[in-house]
Amino acid sequence: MRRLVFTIVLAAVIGTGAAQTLTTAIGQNPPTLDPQTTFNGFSFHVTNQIYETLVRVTPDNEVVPGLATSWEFVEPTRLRFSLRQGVTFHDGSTLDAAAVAASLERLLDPATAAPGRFVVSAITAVEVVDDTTVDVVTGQPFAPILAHLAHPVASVVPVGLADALSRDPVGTGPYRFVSWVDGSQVELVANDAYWGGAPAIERVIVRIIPEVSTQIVELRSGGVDIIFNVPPDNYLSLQNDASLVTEAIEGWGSAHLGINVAAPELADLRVRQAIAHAIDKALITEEFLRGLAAPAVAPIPGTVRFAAADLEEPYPFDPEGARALLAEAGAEGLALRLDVYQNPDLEAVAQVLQFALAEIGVDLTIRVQDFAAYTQAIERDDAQLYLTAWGTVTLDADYTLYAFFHSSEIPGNNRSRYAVDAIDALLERGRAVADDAERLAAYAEVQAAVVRDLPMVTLYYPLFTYAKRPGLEGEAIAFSWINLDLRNASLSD
Amino acid sequence: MRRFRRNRGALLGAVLVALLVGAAVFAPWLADRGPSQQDLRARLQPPSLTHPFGTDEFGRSLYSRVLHGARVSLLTGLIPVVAALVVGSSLGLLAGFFGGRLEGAIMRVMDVLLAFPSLLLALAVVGTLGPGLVNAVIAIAVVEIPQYARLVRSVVLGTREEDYVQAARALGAGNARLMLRHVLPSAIGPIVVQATLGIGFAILAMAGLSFLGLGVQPPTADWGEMLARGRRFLPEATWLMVFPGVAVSLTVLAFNLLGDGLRDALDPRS
Repeated sequence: MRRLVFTIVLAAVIGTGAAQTLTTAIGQNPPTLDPQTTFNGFSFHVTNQIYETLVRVTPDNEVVPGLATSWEFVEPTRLRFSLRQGVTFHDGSTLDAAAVAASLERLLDPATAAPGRFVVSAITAVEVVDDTTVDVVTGQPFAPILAHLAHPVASVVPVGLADALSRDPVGTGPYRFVSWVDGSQVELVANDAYWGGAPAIERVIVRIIPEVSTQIVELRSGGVDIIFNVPPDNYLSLQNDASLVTEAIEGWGSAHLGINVAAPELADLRVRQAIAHAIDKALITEEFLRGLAAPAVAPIPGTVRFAAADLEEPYPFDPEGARALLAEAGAEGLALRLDVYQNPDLEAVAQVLQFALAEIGVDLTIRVQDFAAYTQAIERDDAQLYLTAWGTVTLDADYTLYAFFHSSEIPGNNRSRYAVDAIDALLERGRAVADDAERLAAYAEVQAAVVRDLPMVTLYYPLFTYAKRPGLEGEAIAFSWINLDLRNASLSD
Repeated sequence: MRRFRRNRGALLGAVLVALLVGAAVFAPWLADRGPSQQDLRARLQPPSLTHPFGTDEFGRSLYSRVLHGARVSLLTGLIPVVAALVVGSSLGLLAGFFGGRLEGAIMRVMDVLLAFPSLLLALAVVGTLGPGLVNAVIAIAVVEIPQYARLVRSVVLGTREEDYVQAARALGAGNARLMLRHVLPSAIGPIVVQATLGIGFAILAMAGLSFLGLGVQPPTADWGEMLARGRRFLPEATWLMVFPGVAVSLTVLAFNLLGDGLRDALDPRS
C-alpha cells in the first residue's frame, strides 16, 4: 500500500514536471480553423499545428517529406506520391490515398469557394493508384507543383467532416484541437499518436492579443512565451533585454508600392521613374525600419528560388532627377492617391512615402481602409498607387511573378494592370519547363523587365522577427511565423 | 461681467483659451519647423533644446505638431458647435413658438438623437459617411443639435406668453419678427453657455474619432491622431503621448471652466 502511494506521488511529480505548456500570442482571432477555406495567416498559424501537407519546406528552402515519404514525376504532367503508412487523423480514421485525393478535390471544387484555390489550380485530376499511392495530374507541365503542395491551403483534411472543421479542426499533425474561445485563445494538446512521436511540449495555447505593446508586456511578465513580427523599434528594445531571446531571419516577405500603369496619370513611364527616384530605400530600411529590412530591387527576396538577387537598381534615390523627369513629362503639380489597408506598419510607410513624394512636388493623399474595402478599391480601374505587403509563400518565383505580372491575373492579383505579351510568354515558359536553368533564365528576364517598367516599386524585404523567453528551445520557423514548428521544441523554466 | 471676473476658474479658463487661440493663429511662427517635415535620421528623440517636445517616429517635431494640432482642434471645436447651434436653435425656436404637430415632429426626432450615447452616434455617422475631417465635423454637429433645440424650445415656451410678446403681436408684428426680435434674445444667454461647454465636448469627440482613425487624415497634425500613433511607442517614447494628452486635457478644461463661469455670470437668479 505504501508502495502504491509512493508510485502515485512519483507519477504525479513526474507528470507535472513533464507537462509543458507553451503560450504564443497572435494579433487577431483566426476567422476559421479549416485551412482550405481561408487565406489568412492567423488561421494558418494555428492550422499548421493541427494539419499537415504532403511535403514541407525547411528553413533552408528544401522540400522534405511530410505526409508523403517520396515522390517522382512518372510523366511531366503526373506527379506520383507514396504516402506515409500508419498515419491516422485525430479522430482515429486512417490517412490513405483516397483521403488525400478527397482532400485535394475538395480544395479544387469551385463549390468550396476556397480563396487559396489558385495555389493548386494547375491540377486537373487527383488519381488513387493504390492505398498508399496517389497521382497528382496537371493539364500542362507545372514545374513549381511540389512547392505549391507545401502551402497550408493544401493541408490534408478529413473531407467527411467538411464544414465542422472550421470550428472543430481534425488533422494528422503534432497537436490536437481542444478548445477555441473567440477573440481570446485557442488551446491545443500534443497528439500522442503522432507519426513522428508526440512532441515534448504537451500543451499549446495561442492567445489573441491585438496590441503589440500588450504582447510585449505579456512576454516580459511570462504570460506568453513567444511573440512574432515585432515592429522594429520595439524589437530593438527587446533585443537589449537580457531576459529574452530575439531572432531576426530572412523571410519570404516583400513590401511593394504598386502602380496602376493603366491610370492616365501614371501611364507615362517617366512619371513612374520619378516616383522611383524619389524614394530613398536605404534610408527607409536603415533608419525607419532600423536595419530590420533589406533594401529591395527585384520583386521577390533572395530566399525565393529564381529570385534575381543581384539586379542593379535602375532608379536610385535622386530627387533632382525625379523633378526633371516630372517636368519633362509635363506632370508638375501631380496629385495622386495611395491606397493602404489598416496596418500600423504599412500606414507609417505610407506617410514616409507621402513626405518623399512631397519633396519632388507630388501631392499624395493616403486612403486607409479595412482590408476588404482596400482590395475592392485597388481592383477598380481608377486605382493609382497602392501599398502592399506580400509573402512568396511557396518560395518559388512563379507564385509571385505570375500573380503580379501575367495579364490573365488582371485585376485580381495583377493590380498594376501590367500586360506585356513577351512577359506573359516568359511567365508561361517558367512554369512549363522542368529544367531549373531554363526557369532561372526566364525569371531573370521577367524581373529585369518589371524593375525597368515599374508596375511597382519593391521597397524592401522585411526580416521576420520574433522574441521568446529563453526557456523555449528547439523551435524551427521557416521564413514566417505561420510555419512555427514545435515538433522538436522543449520548454524549461 | 464683474461676477465673471471674480470667478478665478473662469478667468483661468479664459486665459487658457486665449493662449490656445494664440498658439493656433501663430503656430507657423512659433514652431521650429513644419509639422510634416520628416527627418528619419532623428526619430524618437527625447525632449531637448533642439526638439522641445521630442520627435515622433518620423523624426517630426512634436512641438510643431502640438502647436499645429491646436488649429485642427479649435476648428473642429468651433465649426460643429456653430453648425449645431444654428440648426438646433432654429428647430427649437420653431418648435417652441408654433407648438402643435410641428413641435411634436421636431422634438421626437431630437429625442431619438438624444437616445444614443453621443460618441456612439458620432461613430455611426462617420461610419456611414466614411472617415475624414469634414465627415467627422458633420458627425459631431449632428450629435450636438438636440441640445440646442431642447434648450431654445424650453426658453421659448416660457417667453412666448410674456406680456411684451403679446403686446408686440397686438401691434401687428409678424411671426418672423416676433421670433427673432422678441423671443430669441432671451435664449442667447443659455445658448452661449451651452456652446462654450459644447466646444470642449467637440474637441474631445474629435480627438476620440481621430484616435480611432476616423478623423483627420495624414499628415495633418491632430492631437487624437498623435495619441493613437504614440500609443505604440509608450514604453520607448513616453513623450509622444504626454504632450498631446496634456494639450487635449488643458483645452477641454479651459472651455469647461469658461462655460461654467459664463453660466454663473449669466444666471439671473444668482
